[in-house]
Amino acid sequence: MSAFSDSGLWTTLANASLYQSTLREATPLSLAAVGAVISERSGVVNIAMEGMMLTGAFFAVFADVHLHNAALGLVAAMAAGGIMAGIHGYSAVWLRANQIVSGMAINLLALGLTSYLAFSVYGTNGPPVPCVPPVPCSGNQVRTIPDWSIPGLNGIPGIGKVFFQQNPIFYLMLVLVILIQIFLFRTTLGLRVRAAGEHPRAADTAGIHVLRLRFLSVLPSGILSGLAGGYLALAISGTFSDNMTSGRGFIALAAMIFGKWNPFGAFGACLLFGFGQALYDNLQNTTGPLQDYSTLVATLPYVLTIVALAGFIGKAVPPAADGIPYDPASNA
Amino acid sequence: MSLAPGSDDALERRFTYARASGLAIPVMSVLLAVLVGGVVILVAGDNPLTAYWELLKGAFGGSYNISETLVSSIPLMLTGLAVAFAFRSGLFNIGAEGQLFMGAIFSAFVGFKLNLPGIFLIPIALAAGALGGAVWGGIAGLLKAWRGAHEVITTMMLNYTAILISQYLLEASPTGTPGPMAQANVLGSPQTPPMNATLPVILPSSLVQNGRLHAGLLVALAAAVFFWFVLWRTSLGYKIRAVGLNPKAAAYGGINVGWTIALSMFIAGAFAGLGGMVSVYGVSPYALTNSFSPGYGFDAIAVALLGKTTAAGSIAAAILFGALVHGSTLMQADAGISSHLVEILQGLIIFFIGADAIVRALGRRGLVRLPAVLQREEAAA
Repeated sequence: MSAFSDSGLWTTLANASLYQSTLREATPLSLAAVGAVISERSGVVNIAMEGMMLTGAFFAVFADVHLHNAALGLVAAMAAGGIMAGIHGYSAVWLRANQIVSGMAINLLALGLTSYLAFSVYGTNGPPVPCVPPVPCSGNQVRTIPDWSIPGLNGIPGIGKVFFQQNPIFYLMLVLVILIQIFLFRTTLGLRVRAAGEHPRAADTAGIHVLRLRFLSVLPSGILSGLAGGYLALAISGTFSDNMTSGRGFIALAAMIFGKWNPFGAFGACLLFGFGQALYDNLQNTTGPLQDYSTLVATLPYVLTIVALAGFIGKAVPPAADGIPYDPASNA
Repeated sequence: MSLAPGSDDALERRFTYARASGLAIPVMSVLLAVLVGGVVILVAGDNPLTAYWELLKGAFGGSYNISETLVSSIPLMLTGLAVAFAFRSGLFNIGAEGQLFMGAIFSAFVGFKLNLPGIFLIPIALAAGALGGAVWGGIAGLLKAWRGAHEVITTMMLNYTAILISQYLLEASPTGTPGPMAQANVLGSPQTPPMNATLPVILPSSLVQNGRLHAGLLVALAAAVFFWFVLWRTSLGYKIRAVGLNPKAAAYGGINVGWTIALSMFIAGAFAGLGGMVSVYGVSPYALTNSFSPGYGFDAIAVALLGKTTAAGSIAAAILFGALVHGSTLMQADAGISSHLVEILQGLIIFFIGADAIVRALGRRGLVRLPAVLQREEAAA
């Protein structure tokens, strides 16, 4: 025990705030990852969650400040993410573009567009600052989305803080993960989506409009990534900054693969990666020898993904037709 | 194109652009990107003509700016070659950034550890940089060859791992301990001690006042020649091209596909690693910092695609992007238009190259003359 407490690890692990921030970190990852599951299950590779998230974050702040309403900010975030997904879906499905090239393009475009617009809209003063509740909000401040603190339950020792002092979007995310799992594996439409991604020719023969279904399946991935960006902007940071998603879209991609293209699996992987991030943040603030190695701890999600992909922790097999454009006219 | 669904190689093989000849798609992609970028500038309330004029002036106005444009393009040439080379074996190497970082870390390590004159140290540093990148690329190549791990994801994850390793090596910990490779007592952002030798400036000051164009350009050009030579004049190059065009046929023809893929990633990584070396040894502060790369490895994807995955094309595309990078900083300073315009243009260029159906559609309407290969494909469709 003393070895643990000396390293700072034990103090960190025993602190409920570690688990609270694990769920906080896992929220945007899960939203983007389960959205991507739908897209990839339909056969459209989506590596553009990073860009869709970033676009969502910018437009969340933009709409929030202009309309003085955080909920409308979230709607704008989802719409912006959805539009980026629409561009990706259009080129990937209808134009049969290489989906990875298209995804990279969306990521770069979103990075450039949001930074460019932030500079052009907010100038050298920088993006607006968050509004802190007790003081009345002025016109150009960001209305944030405060955490819920569920009375009665939040007082439970240990888990109260972890599960019952969270952002409303966290609870929304939990519901969405369950709904998407049910949708994909327990509904006819979900079966059709999976058929389009496993064997589009057979799905087409069975009367499914593969192209339309694929295009529509890309959209939720953008909408949920946009929501994740809105969460980062309005619930976590309270503002927009250039490249503020800082790789979360790629971690969500990793989580989706780690979770074997399955909503529950992806959610589990997001918890793991969220834990990695929370551990990193907490270790940095906990005195002990491990503090010096916190940056190396942060590499764990990436290393684990490589290990998982290499088949050392069970084989990660994508949907059979994932990434292959479908051409109804070809007889291949 | 008949491919078994689920074939790992189907994804890359669908990407016919790399093999199509002619300049119609790259040139049209750039023009369309400039056009759409102009609309974005207009919507954001700036004047696109001013923006592009300032961009052009910033990039090519006077010998100093031309020299600076080339300085910006040197790492892009090498990372671009890294992406292009892997493409030839059918692999999409989006890990040039990580390979660049590992090359920079390896070469910086020998640069302050070995107290040798430049004539010995520079070759050692070049070898160390190439090795660092090659190891990082090789990991992805070997995992693809042995375990079938998709290189897009592994290289992406290796990017973040390499960047974090560099942060670990340089940045002071929360307790204030300097990073293992950081120079103690440096104000500002952390860096390694300065290198014991540097790449010389190759333009005399009589030609360009305060010019910074360094010998890294020669390294990049030599790498491009090496790229071409290996690909077209060696049996390894033949194998790489065969695997890239059709891995099943290559395997049937007796080529060890896995080994060829791994080697191609090893060589690709070495190119990017050299990019890291020239970034450390070529420009001030002649030391490894965490901010030496503004994303050279990510821009490399656009460079390789725009350069049609050829050596000469990558060099030319790198100069174009170098011009965008350098020109945009002056554009922001002089005209107050955000330099992030560059990423918008890059994103759009990649988008139009990927969605080459758009350019083909213009060709069908007679608005663009498509090269013969594409015309035949269109006629067959």
